[in-house]
Amino acid sequence: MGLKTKRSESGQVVVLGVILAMLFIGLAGALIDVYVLLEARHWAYQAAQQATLVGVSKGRSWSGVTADRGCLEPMTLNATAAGSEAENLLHQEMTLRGITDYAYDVRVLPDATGGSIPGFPPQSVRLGDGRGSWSLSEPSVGLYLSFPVQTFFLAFFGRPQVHMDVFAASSIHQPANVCP
Amino acid sequence: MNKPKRSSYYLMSVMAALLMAMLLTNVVSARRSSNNGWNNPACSEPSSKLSGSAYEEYIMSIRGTTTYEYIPANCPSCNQPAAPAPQNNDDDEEEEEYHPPAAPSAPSAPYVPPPPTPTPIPALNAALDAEYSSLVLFASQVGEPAQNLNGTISGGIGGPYTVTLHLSDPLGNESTYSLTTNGAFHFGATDAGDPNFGATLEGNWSAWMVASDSVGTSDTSTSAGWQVGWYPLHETP
Repeated sequence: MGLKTKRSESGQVVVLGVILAMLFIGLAGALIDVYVLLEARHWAYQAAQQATLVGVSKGRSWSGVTADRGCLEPMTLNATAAGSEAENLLHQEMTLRGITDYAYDVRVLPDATGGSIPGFPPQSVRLGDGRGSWSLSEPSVGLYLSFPVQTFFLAFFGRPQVHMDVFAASSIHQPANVCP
Repeated sequence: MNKPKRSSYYLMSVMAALLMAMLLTNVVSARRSSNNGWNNPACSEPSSKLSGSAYEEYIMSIRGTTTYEYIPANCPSCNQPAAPAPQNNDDDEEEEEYHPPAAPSAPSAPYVPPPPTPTPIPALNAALDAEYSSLVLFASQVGEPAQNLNGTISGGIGGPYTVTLHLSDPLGNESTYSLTTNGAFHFGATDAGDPNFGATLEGNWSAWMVASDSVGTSDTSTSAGWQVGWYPLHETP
């Protein structure tokens, strides 16, 4: 009787230990996946943001801003240059990250008063108003980036990778004394 | 005492008669000459040029002329200068002007040169103009021009002019530059040694100059202003 009880308790402990170990492993795996996904999203957003900043910075059309009208001319963007500069920086960032499989879409609002692009970005990755219809009142560059992120724990549930979608945009502020 | 002879009385009577006849002849001749008149336009009396008599020849020989004008003593107005003849505007020919007789010359005095006539010197005028009314902050970094100031100075006794250029930034800090010019100058980034001349701070800038000539006359120009702006980038949420 006593031996039987001891063996039974020992088996329960083993089973419990195995279950707890699996729970910890699963929790650790989930934490790893959460961290990987959050880190990837943060990095992707930073990369996209830097790309758009470079796009608007190097895409500014300086010619004519000192025209003698008694005020500064409103700044506009060279759409081709702005888009190209943003793409170049994005490619560099992705290369440094070691990501080769990615998709992106760069759009430029070149006019001094901005504009609107319906259906951009293609995924609902932005918060707030204007989701799916990008509208701004300043010359801007917007970049949508999508790339896969390998998962650890979710792979056991049939999702070995998750697609990360980010969107970032940068604009040029017109000075207060700009010409109307 | 001897009594004069009758023949002597006759002789004296004849001589007296001759003398009287000569006197009468002279008086009549003088009257006839005065009645001939003269031609001074200032008098209403008739006039004529006298010539031919011995007296006239004598006068003309003294004057060195061939004619002279006799002015009778009983014409007071004839001693006044003749009134100038009325001008005919339709006649383009130059008419001879009347010159009054010269006043008697005063005793000669040592020659004193007339005092120099002051020549008015035009006032010194300095003007400064900024080529650009708006600039981009640190313009040279983005390939845009910095400020160029164009000054013109006129008047005074002429160049060269000494110019002190004052530059005030948006914070009120003032910097000065000195230069010399003959009337017009151009001052830019190269002259100031600053590639971002007038564009190193965002806000309103101003510049003016004080120009002076070699005698110390100076003038301060009006202020030329411009604004420096920037187009900041920002992330869009």
